[in-house]
Amino acid sequence: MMNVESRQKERVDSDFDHYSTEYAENPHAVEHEMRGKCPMAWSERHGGFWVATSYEGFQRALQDLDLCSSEKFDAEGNVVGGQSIPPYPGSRMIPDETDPPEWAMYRRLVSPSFAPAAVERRRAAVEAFAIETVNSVIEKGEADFVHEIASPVTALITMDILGLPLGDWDTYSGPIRRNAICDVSMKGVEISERIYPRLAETVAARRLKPETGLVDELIAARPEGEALSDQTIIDMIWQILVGGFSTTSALLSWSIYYLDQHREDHQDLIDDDRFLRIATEEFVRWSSPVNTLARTVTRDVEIEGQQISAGDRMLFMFGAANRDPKVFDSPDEVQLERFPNRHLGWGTGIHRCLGSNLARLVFQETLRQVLRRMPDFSVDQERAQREPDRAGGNGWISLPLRFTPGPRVHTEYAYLSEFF
Amino acid sequence: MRVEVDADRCQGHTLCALAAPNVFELDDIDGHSSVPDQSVVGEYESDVRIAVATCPERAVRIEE
Repeated sequence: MMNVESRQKERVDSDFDHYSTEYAENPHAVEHEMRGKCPMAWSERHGGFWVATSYEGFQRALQDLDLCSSEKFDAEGNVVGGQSIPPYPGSRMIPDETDPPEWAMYRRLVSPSFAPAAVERRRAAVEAFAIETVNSVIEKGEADFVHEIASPVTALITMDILGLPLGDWDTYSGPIRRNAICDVSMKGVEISERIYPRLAETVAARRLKPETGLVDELIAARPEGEALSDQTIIDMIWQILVGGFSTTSALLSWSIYYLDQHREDHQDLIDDDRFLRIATEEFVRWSSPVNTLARTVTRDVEIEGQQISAGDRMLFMFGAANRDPKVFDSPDEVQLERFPNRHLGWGTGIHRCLGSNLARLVFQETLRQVLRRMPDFSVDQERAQREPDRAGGNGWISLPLRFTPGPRVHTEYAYLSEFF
Repeated sequence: MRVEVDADRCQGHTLCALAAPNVFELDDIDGHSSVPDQSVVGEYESDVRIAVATCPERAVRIEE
């Protein structure tokens, strides 16, 4: 795959494919080699795209706020761009696959629910969701961390904020998990077939009978004086579902995988809130749960010595930028006390992760529950299974855990037990 | 030391407030940072330098 050769003086071409098994099996060696040889390389795959692997390349491209477009549809509704290469079928994610000024209108509608103050007000509820999730397995002495802890806790909390029926969580979580492990030719297909129709039914029902949640706020919203269409609301909910489920689930899974092999910091992570917050950023940097995202370049520009043309597609390799040795000492090492830590794991520029504050809280409360209540947990490394590619997200299919069984802990949210 | 946050660059990572919680204030709507009292002295100066170094957007600026 890495037959990098200089065909032209001004461009280094490769046949890099972010869906390839070769990349998934040896990601950091591939990334270091690409960054070292040409931090803005060209790949002929998937119609051709630039591959950005250096921290500086990210800063130049994504912090120049009108250089890159995220818009998925052109004026005729044809798929042209968006955040994946190749573009997946189905409609766009809103606001991630929109540009200003439209982007600002959508982002304003959803930002307040995910701002630090709003998230902090949910702390007790998030802790209770984490307690109840661990309750569902604690008496068994074994669990699949991905299926029984990380997936339900992230899905249920996200759906609770949206106000979606919690009993539907696997209707959404199942297709999202399967989308991460299917062949590139099938990406987005099951989501279009299963998730969109279910969201359409739910939005239609809620127009008639409002409840309490972000879904109802979006239905009631009148940005610029007009109500949002059902399709726009669905595209916004879909964005929050996909952002809230697999990313935080992957972050939790990578961290448990790491902490299984590194036991020395467990007690400090439980006891020291500031250390846990700083460690969270390092887990995000090291694991980069969103590993690749795409943009379309809007004007001719030179970045990292390469001449890039308006209309070119560009793939940002977040895991690679987050291990750039020019910015991070010993970048392949997890250093939980690493701070300052100006990682790009939440993205950079205007599309920076909307839900980062919630993700941190869910991660921290869930991790604390596991470390406290399953202190002797061990991961069955033989049966642990990673997702087959590192395009887009970068998570786990399965992480089997064993631990000494413990007692359930009572919360006001005992009704959640029916959803596990 | 004078410190300011470039509102056009800040994207709400909130890491400055993790570095120097007594200096930076996070907005209720979008989590973006601002500095209520731009003049920083003594014990908080080193925290502010960490905030500068940990901002991925290069939005925090200081004048010594």
